[in-house]
Amino acid sequence: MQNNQLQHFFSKMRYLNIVSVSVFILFSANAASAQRISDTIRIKTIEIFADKIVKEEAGKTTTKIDSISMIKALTSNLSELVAQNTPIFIKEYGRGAMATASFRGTAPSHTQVSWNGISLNSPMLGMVDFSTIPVYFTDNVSLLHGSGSLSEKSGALGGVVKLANTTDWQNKFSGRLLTGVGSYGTRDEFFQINGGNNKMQSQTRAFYNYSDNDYQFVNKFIADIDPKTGKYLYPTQRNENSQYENYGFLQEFYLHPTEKSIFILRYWYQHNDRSLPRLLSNETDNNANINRQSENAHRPVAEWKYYGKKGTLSLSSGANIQLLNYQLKTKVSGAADQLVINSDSRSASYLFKASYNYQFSDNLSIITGANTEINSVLSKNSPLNGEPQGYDRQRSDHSVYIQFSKSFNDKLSANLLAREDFIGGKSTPFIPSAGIEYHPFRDKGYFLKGNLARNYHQPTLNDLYYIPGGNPQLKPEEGIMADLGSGYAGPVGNTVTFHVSLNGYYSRINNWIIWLPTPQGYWEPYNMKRVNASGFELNTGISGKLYAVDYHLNGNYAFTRSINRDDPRNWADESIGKQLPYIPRHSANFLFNLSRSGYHFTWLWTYYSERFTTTSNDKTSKLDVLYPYFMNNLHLGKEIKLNRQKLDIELKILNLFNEDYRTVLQHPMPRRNYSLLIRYDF
Amino acid sequence: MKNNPLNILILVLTLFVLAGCMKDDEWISRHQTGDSFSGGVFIVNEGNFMYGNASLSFYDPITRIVQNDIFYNTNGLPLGDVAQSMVIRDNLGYIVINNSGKIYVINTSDGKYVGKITGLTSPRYIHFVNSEKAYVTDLYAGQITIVNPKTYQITGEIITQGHASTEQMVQWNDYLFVSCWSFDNTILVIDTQTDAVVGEIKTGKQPGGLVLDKYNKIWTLCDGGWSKSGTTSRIPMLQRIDPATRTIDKSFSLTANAKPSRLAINGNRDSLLFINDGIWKLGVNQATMGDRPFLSTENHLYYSLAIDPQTSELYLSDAIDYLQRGLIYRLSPLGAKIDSFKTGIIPGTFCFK
Repeated sequence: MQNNQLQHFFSKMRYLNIVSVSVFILFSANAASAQRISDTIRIKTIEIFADKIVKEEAGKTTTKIDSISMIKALTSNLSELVAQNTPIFIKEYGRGAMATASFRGTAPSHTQVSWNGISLNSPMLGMVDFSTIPVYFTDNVSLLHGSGSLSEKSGALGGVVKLANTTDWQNKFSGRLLTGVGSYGTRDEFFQINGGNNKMQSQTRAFYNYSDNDYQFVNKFIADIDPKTGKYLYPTQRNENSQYENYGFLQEFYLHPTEKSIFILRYWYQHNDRSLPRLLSNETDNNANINRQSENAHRPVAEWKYYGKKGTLSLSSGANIQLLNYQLKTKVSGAADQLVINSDSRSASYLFKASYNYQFSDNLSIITGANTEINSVLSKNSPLNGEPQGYDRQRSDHSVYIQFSKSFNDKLSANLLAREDFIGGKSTPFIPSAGIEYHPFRDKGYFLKGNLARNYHQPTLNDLYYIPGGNPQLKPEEGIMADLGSGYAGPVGNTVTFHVSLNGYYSRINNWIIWLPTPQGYWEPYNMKRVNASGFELNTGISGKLYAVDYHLNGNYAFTRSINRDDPRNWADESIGKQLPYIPRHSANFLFNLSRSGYHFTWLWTYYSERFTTTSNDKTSKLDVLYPYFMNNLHLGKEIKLNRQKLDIELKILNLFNEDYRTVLQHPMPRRNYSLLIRYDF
Repeated sequence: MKNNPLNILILVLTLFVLAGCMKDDEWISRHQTGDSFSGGVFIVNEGNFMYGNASLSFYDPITRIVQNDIFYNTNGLPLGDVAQSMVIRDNLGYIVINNSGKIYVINTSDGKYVGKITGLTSPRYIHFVNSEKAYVTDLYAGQITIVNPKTYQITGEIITQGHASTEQMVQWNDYLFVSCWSFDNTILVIDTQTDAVVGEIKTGKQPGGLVLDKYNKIWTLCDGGWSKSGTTSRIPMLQRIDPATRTIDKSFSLTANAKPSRLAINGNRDSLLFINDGIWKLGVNQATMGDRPFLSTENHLYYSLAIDPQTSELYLSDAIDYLQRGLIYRLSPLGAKIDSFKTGIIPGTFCFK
């Protein structure tokens, strides 16, 4: 019984999952049996619901990606996981190619991705390429929407995608092996080995992922003219020069030296190597304009937590070091190979964090902390025929914050947060945030919540110093953000759990930074006067059991208005009052999973409405708009249990209806394709 | 609530499936226009780099009718990625598509695509030596490609040792003068009889535009490259070359922060115009530049400039924010506005028919 309650509690914490670590520790320090942090990998599906407001979380909109979605996306990268399970819009440039996120209608740099407390956003570009983050290497993924992200960090005008790893203190020896083969010469290999006792745990993971990625398509963007009939002959082509190879290694040590402290060490190394295929309209020489991007990332993190009777102290330090090389090569008949662009960059963020959480009582707490982030970028571009150019800059960003959280009774909780940032030695305006949450009925499943905040996003080092174009005079982006949400989460009868939530938001973002071309041929960043991003997110899910069939459904719909409120450049400017390019007004997805006696069936559906490619939202030519996107993927599998071991064989059918489509203007996407995975858990 | 929730779910899900269909076929469905293009000007809209949304427009100054997206509408094919320039020869239009590595050839009467020259690297401009030989400059190739404009075949190349980028071309007698723009400061001289580099002239940094005036002198506009933060070594210049002696015989320095572009010459070939925020004008015999532009910006960030060789009327383009259809002003030779209209994304070059 005791165990069940704890299980329930921890799962609830994962469901809520914001400052949960500190809160959870308070409890675990009191209960010896609480050392069992649940093993998320093994848990099939648990939908647990809050019956008491976590006051530190009051008013914040959060989403936790459930364990079924996580396991279905195990061999995917974060871009697929997020696109298929959350309201975030992912703009992908092709299979295996760069993928950027738009959270609540904002720019890619407005979505912060944190991995066990360190920021994965490059200080050079500000954004994260979601296609480079393997789902293998994370155990929990949750979203902090909009202003709900301020308890984590400032600058996430869209929100935070939070990746966390956990361990199972009860584990002695366990692991997982996974191997997969797929269409277009795709291979996926993964292993994980966990070992230890209740004082120490080690987790080792590694993956390898390769694809020729040479899918075939009929190119209707170019044509030869048949000399006899005058008819067009469309060439059948392969998606050439787009193979990718990624591999990585993650080692974690969890130490529990005393009852009251935990020490964690992590190191993540990853290598990504790939190229972006040429556009459909390309008719250069076969060896011309071949690009290659290769990246090495090192991410060490150390974390120490001490749980006192009422206070929890947490210290952590880590780094995100990314080494990037981009080359554009061209081979010309009669001339030597030309290295047209050779660009090297090293971006590094070193992070130091301290936070202290003190519970005066069950009803009042204070969280305070300080962060320091030292960002440095060395960027060197060696153009053909020109002298190398680039920049070498450092910036230290400091942040201090304090949050008061209070429960007035078991129906009403509120919190207040104040943050002050010091960017490159200058203090930014004060950042406040206030949240309130109310559960009006006896059934605590119903909730109403709201949050109001100010937020600042600093220009990236490329924005300021890139050559050519960087503008040191850029102002930070300032957001005023309001959130309002309502919904229900709880059981319906004995076998069904159900949740639904509707969250509306409104953000005014002043000085929005955008890079635009100049008459000189290069691009320059500039502060737009304002962008208004508003909309709502609807999330619903149901799971239960019917005629011995376990079913699970989760769906999202987002309505997004991201409107240009800049000053018009002149009378002819038609961009004002229009939706920003490439942000769909409507987006939706759902996951539908059925399982019985080890057989399982999953259907994933994703939809985006049309996306404009112009700021004027022109629809005169079909080249101005990308048609709505509908994607269906199907997974079929069988799991065999052998004592503690499990063998799972799964067939994935991607692009079920064999759509011939593009997600950006001139990169084709693959037709129906398959992947077969064998997973062995021990 | 006797309804089985699972049944409802399945029903809803089935409806979703029916909604799924994306079609490139429909997207590309060809439609013919009955329009034909008599006298007027083709406007080549570059489009955004890596978007592949270049387009072609046509403007008739008599009827004042503008037709946009004519290449796509006529041929059902996109023009490509970054359309750089266009030349008309024998009723055929040669449109150089920089980042698609090709030159589309259209019939200038009806806009129909009749052929293409492919397999280029990063082509910029085409210059006709005669009806069976043309030169194509390139941003990266380190060579000028020789093509046969009748058969659309590549017939040879002129290696430009040490100069990766070749840009604009102007011919004087048998000699072709080619500017080497990107990170360079050279004008090459090519003998069109032998297809050999026979000389070079050092200029200011990044010579781009080239025009031949009525006294058979060549003018070039050197944009000075871009300034690195902290250095002020750039001096944009307008320079005059005597093609007979292959020397620079006149130089006008612009201010260090000037970003001049788009050198053009009027119909009588006695007046030069270029963009430097406003529009600047210089008579070919003028001794000094003057300190005021011929036309001020009036809230425009001008992107391109051309002069109708028949009427000397001016065409100015404003790409606005570069992510929407650009604006064109048509002006009298003295700068009075006659008309304005919108074409495509980043209207870059004009080709008069």
